Amino acid sequence: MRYLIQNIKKTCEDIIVLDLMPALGEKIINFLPGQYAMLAFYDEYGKLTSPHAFSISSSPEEVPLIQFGIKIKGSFTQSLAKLTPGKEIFVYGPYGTFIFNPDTDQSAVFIAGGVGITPLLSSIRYAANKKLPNELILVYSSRNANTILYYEEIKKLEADNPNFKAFFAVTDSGIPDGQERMINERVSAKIISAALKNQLYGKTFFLCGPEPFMKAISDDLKNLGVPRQFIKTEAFSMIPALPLKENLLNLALIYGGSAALMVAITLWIYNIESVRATDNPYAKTDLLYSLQQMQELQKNMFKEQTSAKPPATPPVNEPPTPAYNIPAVPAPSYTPPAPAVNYQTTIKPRTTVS
Amino acid sequence: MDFTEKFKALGTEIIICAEIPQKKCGVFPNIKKIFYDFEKKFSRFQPASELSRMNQCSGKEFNASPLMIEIMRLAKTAHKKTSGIFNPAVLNILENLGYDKNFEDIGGINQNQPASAKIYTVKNSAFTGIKINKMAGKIKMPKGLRIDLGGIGKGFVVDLVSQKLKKYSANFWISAGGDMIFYGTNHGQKWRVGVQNPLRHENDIMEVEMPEKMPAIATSGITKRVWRQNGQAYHHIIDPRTSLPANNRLLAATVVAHNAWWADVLAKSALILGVEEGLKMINNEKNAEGVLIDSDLRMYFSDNMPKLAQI
Repeated sequence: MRYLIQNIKKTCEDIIVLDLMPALGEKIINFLPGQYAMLAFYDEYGKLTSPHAFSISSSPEEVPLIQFGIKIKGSFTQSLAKLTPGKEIFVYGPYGTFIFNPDTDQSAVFIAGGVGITPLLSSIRYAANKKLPNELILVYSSRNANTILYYEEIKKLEADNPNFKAFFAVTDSGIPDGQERMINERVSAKIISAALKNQLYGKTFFLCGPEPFMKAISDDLKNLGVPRQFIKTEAFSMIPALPLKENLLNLALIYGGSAALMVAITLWIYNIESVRATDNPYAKTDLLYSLQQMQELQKNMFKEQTSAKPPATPPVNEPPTPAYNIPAVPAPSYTPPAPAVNYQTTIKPRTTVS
Repeated sequence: MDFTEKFKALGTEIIICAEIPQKKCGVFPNIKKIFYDFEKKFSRFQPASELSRMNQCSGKEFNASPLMIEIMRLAKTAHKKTSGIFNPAVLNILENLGYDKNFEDIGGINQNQPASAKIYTVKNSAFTGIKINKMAGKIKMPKGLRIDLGGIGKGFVVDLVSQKLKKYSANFWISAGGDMIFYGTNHGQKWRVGVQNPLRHENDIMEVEMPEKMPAIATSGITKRVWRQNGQAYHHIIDPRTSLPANNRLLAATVVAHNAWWADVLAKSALILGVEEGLKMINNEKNAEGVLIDSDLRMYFSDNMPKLAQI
């Protein structure tokens, strides 16, 4: 989907905050809190970059606007940081299963390290927008007290949402005076337990940050007796969250098709090798035969793929036969919220001296 | 749904307020891009802009873009209709007086700048000597002539954007640093716009009800872009008759007209001409009304302006 940069600004610690709006006539991306999207753009040499994955930090309630918080790390993000408002960006997605589900995650603990706050912020903003009763706790680890990303906004969300509390752990520097719920220590099981007042039961833990950070916290939580299924980590999986049935179908087609092509290529190579080895005057015929065979195989493979589509109208009086033997997946109770924009005009028109 | 967009471009604040369906909100980044592209093309402070390149090519034929041809054509019309008072060929004078970079970089009235050695004057015939070949896409300026489109550019781009926005919104207003255009109604009511007090910028001196036939309004003044050179205070409205900043009792002029570029041109020209001649010029125009404000904050209205004004 073609999006245009609405705003791009650099905040602390080489982080850029990117606001995107869909270009005119483009499809709007409806995502779930915690999901990510792939971004690509034309770089300064006019070349389309390969897509890179970034978590969406805005709330689904703010659609059509989507926001990303991105750390400038490599050449891709360096080029991205040079873009200006109005420039186009291609957004693919949404992807990911690192989703905050208000129905099942009644009590959620978000543990973030650095720029890992972005998918979690989407969930926190969403809960505030929808005035959800879910109990949310954020434990946010940052290097420096002055470089805590979205600090002002988190504080505001905390003030607005009585069900949300934020704790900050600063590793490198001291803590400014008058800061409640901020400690000068690395995030550990001890701190998380203290923040939760040792009430670890019935909570879903969302971990996002550098790989070693997530592994260490995850191990700590398991040692404290938190079951594995209640610990979610962001792994940027390419499987879209919904609907599962279509995903499985796509995967089956992709892998099945690839396997058939591999077989065909192997057969073809085998035949060429046999021609070389035998030096038979009729060997060329064999080669042609193998080529034809391969083409047939490809055709059949294509037929298999096209015939795999379910019939448009099932025959009358007969129960529709499922085209695939994939177990039925119960329909998810969580549906994407309808997009809403909160723009309000309060400015009085005024002609000023120019 | 009302949508408001505020951003900086063309060295000023741009505001767009529109009642627009949510699914059409995607037009806003495109509109923002028009302003940024326009600045890139017509800024005299950007050496690679089309305007800077054209200024460097004075005396030779310049391959101009259709947009440049159009804006130059309008500038020539404005020059002719105001009997030479609106004259964009004042760039050498502005630079000589110290307005040679973005106004934010000049430092305002408190920053004294050294005097320039060279003295420039405006020749009225010079601007009329510009040859525009629309079919061939070429502009030829007399040698040594350099122009600044600041007096018409903002109004022009506001008109341009309003044409685009009309397709998506039935009720909106656009402002580029005071050069504004209104379209439709304000939730069924007529649009009303505040006119800034030239001495106390945070207050409005009056309100104008925008008539349907004249949806554009522009204000020009000498109390905002002021700087000091060699101890002497200067402003950016150059009187081509004296080649110096306009020197009369007027502080600001506000003109309502049928489009923003023309309101912009008339406001600047009235400010240069002074009370009597300025009002005469506005009254001679069919679709234009205006108010001139002097240093005692006395207001001088054109014939039909009191019907629109509320003080």
